[in-house]
Amino acid sequence: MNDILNANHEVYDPSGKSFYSIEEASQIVNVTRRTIAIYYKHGLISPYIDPENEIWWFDEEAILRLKRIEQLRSVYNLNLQTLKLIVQLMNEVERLRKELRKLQAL
Amino acid sequence: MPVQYKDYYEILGVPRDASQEEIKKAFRRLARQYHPDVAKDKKAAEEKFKEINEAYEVLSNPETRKKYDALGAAWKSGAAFDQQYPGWESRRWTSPDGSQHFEFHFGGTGFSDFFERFFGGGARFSGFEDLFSSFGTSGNGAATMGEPQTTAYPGRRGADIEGDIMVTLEEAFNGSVRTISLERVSPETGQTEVHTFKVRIPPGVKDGQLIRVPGKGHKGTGGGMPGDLYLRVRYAAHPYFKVVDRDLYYELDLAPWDAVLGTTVSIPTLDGNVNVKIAPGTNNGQKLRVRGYGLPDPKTKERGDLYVIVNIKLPSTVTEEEKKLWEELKRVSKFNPQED
Repeated sequence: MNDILNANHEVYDPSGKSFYSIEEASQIVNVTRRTIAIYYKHGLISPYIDPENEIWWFDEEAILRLKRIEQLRSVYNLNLQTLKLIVQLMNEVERLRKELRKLQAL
Repeated sequence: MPVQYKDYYEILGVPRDASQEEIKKAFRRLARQYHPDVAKDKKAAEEKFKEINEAYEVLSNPETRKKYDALGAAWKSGAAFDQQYPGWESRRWTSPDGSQHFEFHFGGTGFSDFFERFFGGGARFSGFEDLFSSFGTSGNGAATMGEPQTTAYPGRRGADIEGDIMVTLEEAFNGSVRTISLERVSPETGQTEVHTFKVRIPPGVKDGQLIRVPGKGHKGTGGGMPGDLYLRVRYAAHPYFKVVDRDLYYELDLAPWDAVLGTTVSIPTLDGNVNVKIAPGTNNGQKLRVRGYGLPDPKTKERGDLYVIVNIKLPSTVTEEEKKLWEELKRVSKFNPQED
């Protein structure tokens, strides 16, 4: 019965979309492109940059990072130095968690 | 919507003072038994398989195991628990920016509410969680940036929701469609709402990969857009394979004479069993590559490899006859491992 009901639910398919342009990122995160550029300049984010045409691409991880930075900035009024420190710490936590999961695997 | 306590020791069938090795053994045994590929009742087995995986995930890591043990003790003495984990029983909380948030529950991710609460993605940045769950664009931080902040949409955007989704290797290999339900209390009506939708897991999805489901986060206010739902893929531990990027590793236990004389063995792969030739004189720890039996790359479809790691095992007991043969071997053999 459940399966029949579920058959009508919308299916979200992420496979077609893995990278976003700066315009799309700006829309998803709801910040201006200029703000994104400032974050990049200060090393808070590192989008993939196409060397040929200098176009920036953001993956889901980068979008989530942008949202978190924006959250910290808008709610807590943090300055760039503090944001940078927090981003570095978040990266380190993620890296260590990844490492831990690798070690935990059978 | 109270969170149910999970007894991970009971799930794995081990005593509370079990060694890490015993926990690993219990997991392997149960994971083989309930692996969705081998069990008759696939649906029930899959539930059980994920439950075993969750228990193993927490107990296999001494740090999370310690946290779990402390939690269990606190759980029984209710009051102390509330003090230690303040706000845990409340169904709503307020972010520093003044926005209200309401408890939500996941279904279909393969992880229990209990895991989500204490060991999962929600706890990814413990202590920060209220902070990150309250995404909003108040735009009052402009001064720190030295530029006016203009937002593209009016109102306050809803908070994002983060969670983990357990994906078996078989799902990562074949891809699958998962039904996710999100149960939450509506801020307007106070009623519990359930939203159900499906998420396609693309073949070749990586461990740790984020899947963003747009608009499935908390509702926005004042005409603001809803937040997004983020699901972080976490591979379920497999009873046979270890994964490194797109490659799989399989440990093959081998009798000493098979390693010396060579043999052919049937080994499991994600595509069914394949025969692997073991050359005479194969050494302990030797790595044999079975090309193209790993996980696929989602874009190029190119597959990683399966590595068979030889693990020579010695018999723990020998009969009188075997003992004589070993003695005979010792007498005639010129092999000297110290010089070799």
